Amino acid sequence: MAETHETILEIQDISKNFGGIRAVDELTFDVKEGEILGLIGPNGSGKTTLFNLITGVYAADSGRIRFQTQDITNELSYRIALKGISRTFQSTKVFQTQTVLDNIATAMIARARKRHISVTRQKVADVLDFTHLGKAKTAIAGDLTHAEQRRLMVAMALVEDPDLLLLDEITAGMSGEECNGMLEMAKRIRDRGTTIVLIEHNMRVAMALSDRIVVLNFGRKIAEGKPEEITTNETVLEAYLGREET
Amino acid sequence: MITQVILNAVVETAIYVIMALGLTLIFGVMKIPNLTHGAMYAMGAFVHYSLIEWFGVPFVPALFIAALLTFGGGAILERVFFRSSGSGANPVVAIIAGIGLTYVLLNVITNVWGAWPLRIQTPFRHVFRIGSGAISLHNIVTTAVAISITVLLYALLKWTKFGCAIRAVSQDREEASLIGVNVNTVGLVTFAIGTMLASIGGMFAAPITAASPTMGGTAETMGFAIIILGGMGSLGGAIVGACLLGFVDVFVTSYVSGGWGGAVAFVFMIVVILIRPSGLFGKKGRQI
Amino acid sequence: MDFTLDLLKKKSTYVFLAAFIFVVILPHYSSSYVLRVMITMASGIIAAMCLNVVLGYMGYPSLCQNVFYGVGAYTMALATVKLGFSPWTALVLSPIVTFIIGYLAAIPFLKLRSMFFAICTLAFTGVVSAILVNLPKITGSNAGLRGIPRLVKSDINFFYLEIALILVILVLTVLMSHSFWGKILIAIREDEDLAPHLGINTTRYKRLTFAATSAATGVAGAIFFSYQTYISSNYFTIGMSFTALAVAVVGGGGTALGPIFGGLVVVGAPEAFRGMTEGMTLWRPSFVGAVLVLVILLSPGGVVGIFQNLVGYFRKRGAN
Repeated sequence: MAETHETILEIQDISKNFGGIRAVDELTFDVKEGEILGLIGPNGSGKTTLFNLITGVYAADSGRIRFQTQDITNELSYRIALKGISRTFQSTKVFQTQTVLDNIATAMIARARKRHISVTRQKVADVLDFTHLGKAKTAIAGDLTHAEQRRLMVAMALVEDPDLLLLDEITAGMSGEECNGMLEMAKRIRDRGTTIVLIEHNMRVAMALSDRIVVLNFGRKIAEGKPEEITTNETVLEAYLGREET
Repeated sequence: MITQVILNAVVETAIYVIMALGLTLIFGVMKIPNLTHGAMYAMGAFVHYSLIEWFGVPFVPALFIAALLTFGGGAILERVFFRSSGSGANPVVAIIAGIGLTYVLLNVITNVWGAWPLRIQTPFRHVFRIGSGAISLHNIVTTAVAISITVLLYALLKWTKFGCAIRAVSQDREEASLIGVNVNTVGLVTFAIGTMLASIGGMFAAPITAASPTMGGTAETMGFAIIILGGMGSLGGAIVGACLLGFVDVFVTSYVSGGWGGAVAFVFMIVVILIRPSGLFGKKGRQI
Repeated sequence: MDFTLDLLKKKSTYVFLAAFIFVVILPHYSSSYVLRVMITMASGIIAAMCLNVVLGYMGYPSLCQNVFYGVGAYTMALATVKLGFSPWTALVLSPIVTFIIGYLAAIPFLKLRSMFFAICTLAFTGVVSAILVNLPKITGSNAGLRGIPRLVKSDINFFYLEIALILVILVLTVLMSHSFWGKILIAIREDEDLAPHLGINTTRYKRLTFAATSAATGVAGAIFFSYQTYISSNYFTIGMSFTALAVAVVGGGGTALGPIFGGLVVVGAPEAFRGMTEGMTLWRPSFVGAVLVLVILLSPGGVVGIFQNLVGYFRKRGAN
């Protein structure tokens, strides 16, 4: 995969307050097309808040977010999704009472009507195959194992070929083996052409996957660079001192 | 003229305070809106009436007995119907169950006591003149009762062990049970207290507005308007909300036109709920 | 074509046809009292079917259904009595007016969730009720308006009119539930926070659904009060707002046929017992309330849910 250096996402001086607390503080960084960007930092450093700002759940107090040169700072959530940004969530968000197939179908509703049904069917088959959920397609989502449900969440985010995928602690609650599986899947997602920003508490996964890393603490960026640079960074180590990693 | 309006508003607020405190208490602990509140408001009035008319119990002792009876009634309701909704996981179930129970309770009242309004005599008949207005002793007693209940509730919550348990459960049910609080008992007693307060409200309202099976309908919706305005689960909010909406209701009724008081209060609540869903004193943050 | 052949194979199609024929013939052999009950029940069923879409499919517990019933009814009454339109013109106007009001109400109310939404709709009922009572010059208030012209002459034809409406709504509901719209409503019900991230414009679909079901309820109201020829604000107090809810819940939320069974139970059963005990009418609300409580606590899937469980149970036994 040839490396492109085009910026797909620009975070410019984004700030967000909740009551008296600054959850995100003049945050600025870019995401390059085709890379995997790791977002790490202690609990409460604003990582999920940032995802919520990008996907329109919260409105930023100041700053700009640009996706593929379009300003999406105050855009509605569903429009952002339609533009090609998908996400997963810290807690497993799937339609628990619906089958795997229905879950994926719902993820495609917004776009499925404008094209031929065979295209949609193919996409379903592809994504089931990609996330190794083919055998479970008629199972009720709530009956799946934890790891399977999280893979379903990824499948739903992936089925419409997003340009940017935001993964929020996707390996949470997974065993070592399941983590490896997820690691490998993330690489395959990137190889297909989707840019990934991932929040990770699991340092091993974060370091192994990320091309670059941005470190947050108290809503501010305290470091940015390649994984090797980050692990030896003084400020980063200080921020993590005394804090549990999982 | 305005003195009279203010005096009327004070009484109305007093009754709303009693009602709203019960409602917000139940919501704070059990995280569900109690849709039997209005029915128990009416039930209180009718039980009270029966004690006086059928058993010859004097007004005041009958108040206490009826209050106790409705306390027990509330406990039974909680145990049988609302226990499972206690965690607030599915408020729709509680809402619908409350509606169904209201159907039953109101029908029982209609069949036992009749659908026509009953006049209930209060022994507190003396009328005092204040400025250009007049206020009956009954209304003064009602206001005093409202204040006493507020003080007693405050004392209960702040200084007793049980009050602490109530506060713990309303803040975090799971945590509370982990530290050894019997969450079910707290829910039971709180619901019973809340129901009792509703019925006390009805008992004091009946001599003023006459007792009918449907007397609780608007009162209950008003009660919700109040606690939503004040912040569901907040006692101080319930009091402020009651004052606010009580005065709005009476002022609109007196100065604008008879039937619009309630409607204006509802519109007020709808506006507030849209701007600030957590109410004036509620906790901010996303509702589940 | 496939669809029709499938339909012919199912047993339920024949049950349907039998019921349909029964429903068409029965009115001719019923006393005018029974006919009145049937017309009332059908009307309640229509309102419940509409509520069922909002509550059962979309997950929003609306307690103001009778507001829209009333808006449609008063449109019929005012258009004919005060403005001199023919009842059929008024019947066309009713859903239009109700749709507009429903859409306007949807804008603020659908921003709320669950119990806040429920309580707000309850307050809305109170507000509209007050409006109806306090504008006697326009609405006739408690005394009401008389002389609403009938859409059709005979009671039996009114019944057929309502059955026709029930069928239309039934078909629309089934079509919707199998289409993208149904999936969107279920997504909103199951996890409204997730849906927008899948590209779904939840706001638009919530509003349209709410307004459309309100309009249909308005038509039901218009038809019923044309039948009755008399309307008053007494029918639209807070206390009267729950029949549709009872029918929808008892029947089973989220199923197309649920409200029909709900109507049969809630309205029909007490009447059926009427012959047996004279006291039944007195205790009918208690009956409705008790059934409502039992259903919601024990079998939230309603009558249809119980039925489905029974069928599943018998199938399992048959397999052994």
